[in-house]
Amino acid sequence: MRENPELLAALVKALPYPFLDGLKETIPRLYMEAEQAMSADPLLGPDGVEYAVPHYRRAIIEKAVRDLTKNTQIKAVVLPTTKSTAKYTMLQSGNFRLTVSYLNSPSGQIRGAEFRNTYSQLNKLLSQRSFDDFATDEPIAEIDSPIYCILIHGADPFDKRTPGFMKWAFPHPNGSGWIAEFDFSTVLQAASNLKPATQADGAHATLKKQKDEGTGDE
Amino acid sequence: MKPTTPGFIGERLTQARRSIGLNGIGLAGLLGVSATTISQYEKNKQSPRPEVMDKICDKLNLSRSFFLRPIVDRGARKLRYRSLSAATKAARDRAEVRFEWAREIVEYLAEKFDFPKLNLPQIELPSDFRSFTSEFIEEAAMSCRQLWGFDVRPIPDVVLALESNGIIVIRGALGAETLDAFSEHLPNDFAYIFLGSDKGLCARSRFDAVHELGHLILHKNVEQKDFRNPSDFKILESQAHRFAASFLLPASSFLKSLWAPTLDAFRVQKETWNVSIKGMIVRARQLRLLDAQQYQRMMINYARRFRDGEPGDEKELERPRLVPRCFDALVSGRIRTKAQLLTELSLSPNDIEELAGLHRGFFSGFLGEVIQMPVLKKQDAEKPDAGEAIPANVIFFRANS
Repeated sequence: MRENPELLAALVKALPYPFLDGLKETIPRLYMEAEQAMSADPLLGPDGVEYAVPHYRRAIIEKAVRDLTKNTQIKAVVLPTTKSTAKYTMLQSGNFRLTVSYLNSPSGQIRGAEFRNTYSQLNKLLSQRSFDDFATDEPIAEIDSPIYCILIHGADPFDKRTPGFMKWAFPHPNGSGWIAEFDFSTVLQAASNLKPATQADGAHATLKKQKDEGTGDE
Repeated sequence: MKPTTPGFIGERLTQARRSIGLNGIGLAGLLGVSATTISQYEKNKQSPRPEVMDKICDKLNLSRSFFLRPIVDRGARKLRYRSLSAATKAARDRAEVRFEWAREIVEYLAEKFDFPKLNLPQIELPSDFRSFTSEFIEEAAMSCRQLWGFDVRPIPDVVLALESNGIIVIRGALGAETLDAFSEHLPNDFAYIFLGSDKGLCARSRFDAVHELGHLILHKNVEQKDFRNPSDFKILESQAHRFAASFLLPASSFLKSLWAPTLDAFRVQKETWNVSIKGMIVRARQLRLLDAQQYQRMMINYARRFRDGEPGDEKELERPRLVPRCFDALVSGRIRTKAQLLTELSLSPNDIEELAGLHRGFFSGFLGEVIQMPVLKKQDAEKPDAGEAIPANVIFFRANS
């Protein structure tokens, strides 16, 4: 997968820093919250806790994500899945459509869902952009064409109560992994506008005036 | 009366011997004289005969004039070593001599050039360094950042920042795994930081440089005896570490750009801050992002995952610019020829090139190593000696200037 600074810039433009900062603060807290809330329920028992935590965590994370979009340019809606068996949160900011998903490991494959497959088709042209070194007659996506992106998160394998990774990933329309992905830190950092300091080069010495100047070879 | 070498300075022989990590017996063996004779030379009780003098110059790769140059008495030293306790005496000896030579080079240049003025924050230091709090050290680091105009942003080139603010930075091989860097600032003298080039890790070396800056700012009033006391030395080192971490990773901006203290997040951050992942884990603990248990677990995971080195370690070391620029100005301005510089400095070309940060071959016009590349003969498959190599044409590459 190659570097894609243009796509990163577009994503950063769509996701304001306060929203990202909010996610940074909230998601680790909600991981802990889900674990504690479910473990505290005496009706569940250990197996029940294991079953309930992912569901509960998903619900509170999606709610928090929607709350964080308030006072930002991002629109959040709750939509039913294709078969209306569940609901999911959909965010829209500029040309980006975003959803949130849990993964067991950063390299894992996302669970199939009709709505994700549908949105992934938005990335058809984006997938061609990533092969722009090859001659093609196919139309190439403009960076302001609709793009689908998923906020992927997953638990730390050594401590399920804390998130171990978070990234923004652009699913391939044919379901074969990601066209591009950015670590959450990369996006957060780009959005925080934390550029290296401009540095003056003051490492210069000034020649003193001396009588004994010259090598004598002139 | 047998002829001798008039004006021979015994201390120079000691320096030359220590610079290559030899003891008196070793040097005696090298020169084919007795250890007692070496001792007599070094104590200025006897001076070498011309043929021994020639041997000394030849074996130690130094000019005769080097052994005739008086030594400046610097009085009590206040060198601050990292990992002093682990460094061997030979390593410290070698480092001290090389540092002394670097100073001689700088003093030579200072007769001809005005260097940038030393610009360190004036901090009111409590009289007892043991009472410095973490907050105090964080503030000291921030005031230095502000004085140097960095605010809370990542610093692209630490060595350039030091040099621009009047600190002389020398980079050279220290020849010891356990010796990374040291610094010295004597009254009425330049402030120096000597950085080892042995490990070749940019992020690590940046940390070393700022660690030494911490010593220069925080420990200017600390006495030599405190550096020798192991328990005080530990405190001094940990304070310089804290300073370096605070200076390189200011709490506000580091936390702002970090979503969670995970190894992956630190890996991404390394590209921005140019601080090692391990350094960031320690910083995260200092800033209470990790509790003791999480810290311990992360260090274990770190050791497992980065057993063969961290990603991003291939970055080049930051190079000092100030001293090499002086040499370039002297030569290009026709103020001194390279031959004159060699004579006046009386050190070997290799030593000057290394200590002054000059490219290899600056003095000798070295054209680069010539390697004979083997090439296969044409139609090798058809011949019985298929695969045998013949020498190729030799192409000379000029060393970078």
